[in-house]
Order: sequence, then C-alpha cells, then structure tokens
Amino acid sequence: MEPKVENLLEIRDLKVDLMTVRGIVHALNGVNLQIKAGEIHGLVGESGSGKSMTSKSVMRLHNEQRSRMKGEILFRGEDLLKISKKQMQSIRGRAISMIFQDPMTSLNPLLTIGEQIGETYRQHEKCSRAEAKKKTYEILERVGINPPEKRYSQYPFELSGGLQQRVMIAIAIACSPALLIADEPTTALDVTIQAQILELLQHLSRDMGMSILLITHNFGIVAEICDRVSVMYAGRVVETCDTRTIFRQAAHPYSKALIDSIPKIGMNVEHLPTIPGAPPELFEENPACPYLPRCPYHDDLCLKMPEDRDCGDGHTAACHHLQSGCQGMNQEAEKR
Amino acid sequence: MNHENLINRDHKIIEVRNLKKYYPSGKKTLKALDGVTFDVCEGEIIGIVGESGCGKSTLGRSILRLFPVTEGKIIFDGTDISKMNRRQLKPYRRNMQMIFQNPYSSFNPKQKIGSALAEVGKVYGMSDQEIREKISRLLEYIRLPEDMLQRSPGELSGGQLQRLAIARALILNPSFIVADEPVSALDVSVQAQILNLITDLRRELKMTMLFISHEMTVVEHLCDQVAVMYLGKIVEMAPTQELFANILHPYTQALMSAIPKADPEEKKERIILEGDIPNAIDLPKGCSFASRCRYCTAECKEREPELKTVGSGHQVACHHAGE
Amino acid sequence: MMKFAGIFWHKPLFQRKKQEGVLFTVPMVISIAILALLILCCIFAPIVSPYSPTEQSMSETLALPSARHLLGTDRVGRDLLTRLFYGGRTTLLNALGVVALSVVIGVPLGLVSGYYGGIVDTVIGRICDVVLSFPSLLLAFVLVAGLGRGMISAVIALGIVYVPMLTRLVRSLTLVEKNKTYVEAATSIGYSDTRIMFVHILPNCISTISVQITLDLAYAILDLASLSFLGLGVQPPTADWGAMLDEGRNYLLQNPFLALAPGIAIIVTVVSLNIFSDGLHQYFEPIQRKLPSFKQVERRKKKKAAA
Repeated sequence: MEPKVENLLEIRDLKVDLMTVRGIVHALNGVNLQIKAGEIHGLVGESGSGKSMTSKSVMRLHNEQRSRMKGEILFRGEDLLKISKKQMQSIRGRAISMIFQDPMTSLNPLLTIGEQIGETYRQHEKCSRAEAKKKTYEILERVGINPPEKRYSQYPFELSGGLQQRVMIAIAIACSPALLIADEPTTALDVTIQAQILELLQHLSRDMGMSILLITHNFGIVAEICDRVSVMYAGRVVETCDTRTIFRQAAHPYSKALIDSIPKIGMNVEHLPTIPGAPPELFEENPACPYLPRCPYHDDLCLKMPEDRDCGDGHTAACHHLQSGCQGMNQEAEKR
Repeated sequence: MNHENLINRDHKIIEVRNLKKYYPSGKKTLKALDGVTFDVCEGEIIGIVGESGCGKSTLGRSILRLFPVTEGKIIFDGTDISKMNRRQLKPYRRNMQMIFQNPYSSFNPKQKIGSALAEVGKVYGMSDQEIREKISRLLEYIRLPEDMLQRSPGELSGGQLQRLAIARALILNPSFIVADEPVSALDVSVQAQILNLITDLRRELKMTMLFISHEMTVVEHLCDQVAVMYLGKIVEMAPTQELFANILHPYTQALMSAIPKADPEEKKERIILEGDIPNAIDLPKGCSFASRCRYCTAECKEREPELKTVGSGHQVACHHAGE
Repeated sequence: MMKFAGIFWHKPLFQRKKQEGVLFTVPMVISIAILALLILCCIFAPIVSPYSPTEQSMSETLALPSARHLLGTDRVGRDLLTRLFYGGRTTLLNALGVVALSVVIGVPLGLVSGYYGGIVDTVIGRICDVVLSFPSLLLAFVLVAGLGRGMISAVIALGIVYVPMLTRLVRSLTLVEKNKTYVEAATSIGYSDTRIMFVHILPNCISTISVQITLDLAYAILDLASLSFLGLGVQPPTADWGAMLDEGRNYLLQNPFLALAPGIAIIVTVVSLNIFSDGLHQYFEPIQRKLPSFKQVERRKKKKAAA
C-alpha cells in the first residue's frame, strides 16, 4: 500500500545558487511550496524574485556544473533532486510538463504543428504514426485549434501568438501530465487573447484533474483563475494562502503593499500607494529579513530571518509582524 | 482624479487630422494608421489604448515625425509639420520629446548618465551653467541623488532608468511628450512609483502628454481623455470618467472585460472575444471589428461606421452604439 | 602539470572592478609580455644590437651562431639578430599602417552603410563584394603592379584589400545597434545623423572592432611577409621578416637560422596577437567568458585554506 500523499508537489527548503558572470547568486533561499492535486496554484512576484528559478528547479533544467541545489522537491513523495537523469527524463513531459512565455522561440520553426505534437506521443507513448496522428487531431481540438486537419500541416510562423501558445499547451498536455508548469504563459499576448488562454487553462485543469503551477507577475491573472497563491520575494516564498485571502487579508506586509500598488478601475486617487526602494540583489547571504529595508513595520526582530508561520486554513506567511490576515498571531507576537 | 483645472482648453498643442500611415507589403498595403483625428489641449494627458498591432505606437511616432506620414495633417501649436523635412523639423524637435517602453535600452550603454543628460542641452546650445542647474533641478523632481550622473546605464535598475529617461525628455522644457508604454516593462511596485512621478510632474510642470498603453487600468488612472484604437482607427474616444462609466463600443467592452481584475469578488459577465485580430494588410470592407463582434449585423459588414459624437465629448465608431 | 595549469588558467591576476570581467588572465599576460618584448626590441633596435643591419662583413658570411653573432650571419655577413630586430621594425610598422588605413576607410563606410541602408548600402555592399571576390593577395599584386613596387604601395594595397571585411563587420554591428531604443531616442531628441553614428553607435561597436583589428594585424604581418617573400614588398637591403625568410630559404643547409629565425618571429607574433584578441573578446563579451563550476570553486577554496 502506497502511503497517501496529499500534496502532488512539495518543495522543502529549496536553496539554489547560480554561477554568473557577476559572481555567485543565491537565487533561492529556502523555498517552501505545496501544490495539491488538481489545483491551480499561482506563483507571483516581481522580476528576480525567483519564480522562474523555482519552476526550473522542479524540472531540473539548471546547468549542473554552474548551479548548486539543496533541499527537497517531492513529487508524489519522491525527491526529484535525488533521482537519476534518466528517471528525470521520463518524468519531464509525461508527469510534469512546462509551457513558456514566448511560444515562438519554444517551437521548432522547421517542423509542422502536427509533427511537433505527434513527436511527443511517439516518444513518450511509443505510438505508431497513424495513432499519433489521430491523437494529435484530438488534442488540437481539445485546446481549441480548429480545424485540426488544416492546422496539422501548418508551420509555427503561420499561426498567431495565441494559436502558437495553444500549440505549446497541446504539446505540454499531450501525455496528460499530473502537473503543468506555466511560466508567464500570457505575458507576450494581448489581453483579449490572454483571456482566451486563461479560460483554456482553467477548463483543462478541471477536465483532466491536472494541477497547474502558474507563474505570473500579474495579480489580476491570479484572481481570475488560481485557487491558491504563493507570493515570492528575494528568493523566498513569503506568503501562501487561497486566492480570496490574499486580496482580502494578506498577512505579509509585502503582499499587501504589492496588491495595493496595482491601479484599479474606478479607484480615483491622485497617487498610488507604492513600495519604496527596490528588491535586493542576491549576491551575498543575508541573515536578516530581505524585505527589511522597504518594510514600514521593521524593528530589531527583523534582523533574524522570519520563519513560516501558520495563520490557519493553509495560510502561512514568513514575517515577524503579520498583518490583518493573521490577527491572532499578531497579538501573540506582540506579547512575546 | 479630475485635473480639469490644469488643462487649458483654448490652447491646442497638437491637432491630428485624418492621419494615415501606410506601409507597402508586397503588392498590398498595410494600413498602420487609417484616418486618425484628435486634439490634445495644453496640460492634458491623453491615453491611447489598444492591442498590439492596432497602430498606437505608429501614431505616437508619426506625430513626432520620426518617419514620413502618408496623408493627413499634424498641426503642432498652429504649424502643420506633417510635410516638413528633417531640417525644417529641427526647431520643433526640441518641443516634442519621447519616453520609451524599455528603460534598459533607452540609454547609450557606453555613455555615463550625466553625459547623456548634458548632451541634450549641448546639442541645443544651452550653456554649461544652464545645463547643470537644469539637471540638478530635474534630479530633485525625479528624486534621485546627484551621484547617479557618474553611473553607467548598466548599473541602474529599470525604475531608476525610466526616471532618468523622463528627466532627459524634460531638459528642453518640451511642450509635448509622447510616452510609449513607459511602465509596461516595469514591475508592479516600480510601475506605481513611475505613475506617481508622472502625476506630480504634470501638476508642477503643466505637462502635455500622449500616453500610449495596452493597459486600461493604467490609462484610467492617469489620463484625462482616452482613445481606444483597433486596426489603425480610433473606435471610441471620450473623457476618462465618461468612457469608463458608459462604454459604447463592443470592442472597448470586450477589452474591459478581458482585463484580469485583481479582485476575486468582482466576477462579472466575461466577454471573451473569439478569434484573433485580423491582419491589417487585407481588411474586408465594412467595420474592421465585424468578424469578432457579437452584435454584428449585415450593415456592419457593408458599411464602415464613422466616428460620431454621442453625448458630452463621447465619440464612437459603431452602427449599434447606444442600442 | 596540466592540473596545475587548469587551476590557474582563468585565475585573475589583477581585477579591475569586482563585478567586471578579468582582462589579465594568464594567457593574456603571456601574450602581452611577448608582444611588449618584441615591440621594445624593435623600437630600441639600435641600442640592443651592436651592429648595423646593412653592415656587411665578407669575412663572416653564412656563419653559424657564435658568441659574436648570436644567430649567425647571412650571405653577405650581416648579423642575423640585428636584422631580425630591424626587420621587426619594418614588418610591425607596415602592418600597423595596413590596419590603420583599413580602419580609416572601412569603419566610416560600414557605419554609413548600416545606418542609412537603402541605395547607399547597396552601392557600398556591391563594391565590397567586388573587392572580396578577388583572392586578397592577387588583388594586392594588381595594386602593387599599378602603384609600383615598394613598401608604401604594398601597405596601401593590403590596406584597401582589408577594407571590405571591416566594412561588413561594422555594417552588421551598426544594423544591430540601430534598432536599439537608445538610437531611436537619440533621433527623437533631434541629434544629427553624424552624432548618432559616431558618438552613439560607434562606441558600442568598438569592442568587437578592436578584436577584429588585432586579428587583422596578425593577418597583415603574414600577408606583408608573403608579399616581401614574393619580392613585391620591401626592397633590399631593407630588413623585413618576409624578405629575410625568402632570402634565408636558399641557405637552409649552410645556416638554417636564416630562414627559421624570421619564420619563428612571424609565428610567435601572430599567435600572441591571436591570443591577445581572443582575450579581448572574452573581456568585452561576458557571455564568451568561461565560468568556473561550483566544484572548481570549492576546490580552489580548499587549496586556499590549505595554503
């Protein structure tokens, strides 16, 4: 009997260092993340906060010589950092697959759409040519590329950005993966096309029971389709909770400030609330809370890195001075 | 916020009349701009929204005459500059400046910031003393320390560079600025800083601006007047508050409903447009939005709607507006 | 030995700024040292060598190396080492002349061609095509034939032959830079074309151009040597590495150094220049730089701790 695993993917204290031209970057400093089966989990943060780094670590896409990983990435209870390259290869594309921001550069310009999708079936499922073609038609229809017979023999450059992204999604979900990592899937697309793609992702997740890790910098997208969300800052997840809570009762000062700084229709104010300063560079190891210099609530306590604290209902936040979302915790902290 | 008190309605800085910009594309022509008409008054920020390929960037660059235009008039402060050559344009250039989308590449990477800012003044014959005073005053406005001037662009963050790009555009006291998606490449928290800076500057310097963006929310926050573009044409234009209270064009409606709202409670009816933006090279006759429009009738496919005024300053190009 | 070299291969000897690249890696330092030594010897040839390059001594023709003549003497008894130094003078100076000429013509042509495009680009491009379609030495022969024999015509001929390559390089660099926002920004501010080309675009191409220049310098030494070897360049009795090589090959049995010495001098100079240009390239373009792996970094740390 296999033990029941509640979380499809669980990242524990993941640390990633990267060798760059400018020196060693501590890109991730202890990321904790849980993704439940069937949920759409948003991963939000500003550029350089480590969102894409986290997803790349899950797929083990880093250059092995120039990166150093510590921690655990448990997928269905198995640590992805410990398995062999070959095992990892069989997980990539079959159990976990990924779509990227720019579909044009992710597709091979010399192969037709049909060939590229069919290849996935032939590789992972050892299908015959005819079978692969039949399945390709099905999947094209499923991701809303019509008519499949015509699109099958077209080349990527003949399609618009929205359709290209649909093709990427088709390739990614071809083998019905348990987890789809979508790295800014709509950033390169227009809003009306973005709405189409988001709707498609939501349907796919519901119909196939597939979990999606949606990486984005746009809180609007999170509000639209995510069930739960994690906010990242300076290589750490600072807050995780369900989508409603982050907008109503964010507990971490950073999440709260970030949401407040988005312009909203009908707000009618002269000035938007802002966060002073800029995110830190991650060249040196920092024992203090990385948000300290920009935080209005900071004090001596913040010189120590805050631990993840539980606010109930799966709501966690890493801060010594939790905000409204965590009323009880806050008073407790003040007592101490 | 209402900034009517900052706007001088009697003084029109820019009048664009039936502006057209065609690009040859094989045997056909790509109509990047197809008959755009609007005015910008002194002290006004006018927003241009639309999806990629709608011609909004072409519009901004055409008004600055960064390239020749095919047809139409651009009247800058009473003078038609649409047919001028480079030499004739030179005196007008100093009065019209531009801010670009990507702050990381809008400065020469081999030039120190200070020399980049000073160069603008030097080329237009300002004295060293004047330049120095101007730059230090602008640094105060954009809230950056003087030691920025010794840095190279590569050492600065996107937000800092965008502030400096704004400062560079202001050195010559231009009477008109085109900002092409100045906050799109920035992170949310930095974006708010830049938007606030623009708000402050318009108040203090009475800036007149054409603000191009693909984000409705940003435009709504900043602009006094909004024009929505689709395939080289303005489909709807109105004062901001009027527009957002009373959206008339089905494309604007779809655009509005497609914006992901940063608020899970506010789930309202979503209009998801079918299909893609048609190719601007080979447009069928009739309304260019007809193929994606849910109110499309036989009339829409036959006759192209004119931009007509309905209500207070609200213009819309749709046969079925107000129905 | 190899392991030892591996550890120090990219170790910085001197760092300019913490986060910038390292210019002075070990290969760079070696090549710079060799080039500097060569240049110094050539500049101070009259001081370094006790003989005159044209002083003949019929009693000592084709002498093998000895204490009096470190590399021996040639067919008319001139000291080989002295002639090597003086030969280096002419060769290096002429090579510099070739490159300078090609830069002065090629760089502005490339800038104009890339920046304006259209008919200007087409005309310049066609001219380059015509020049490039001839083998470079053949073209140099034709030009030398037209201009008359001698050093100056050889330099002018090679200088012109080198123009198209540089023009093409600068043109392609300009095309890339032209599409960057800072150039559009400069246009929108109202800067003149000349200012945009020379003050804004050119400095951003300099790093790649300078790499090409050092490479061209190496080629120029080889091509000049070939021309002299074929008797079209330097006229006797002036010393020149190529001419010396030509002369020396007739006496390989009597004194092999007569051919070997100038040959080795050419090879060492060209290889040093190549290493130097490669180092420059890596310095200017961080992506070209080899990053150490974490294992290497840890190994180095351990070594440091042990020491």
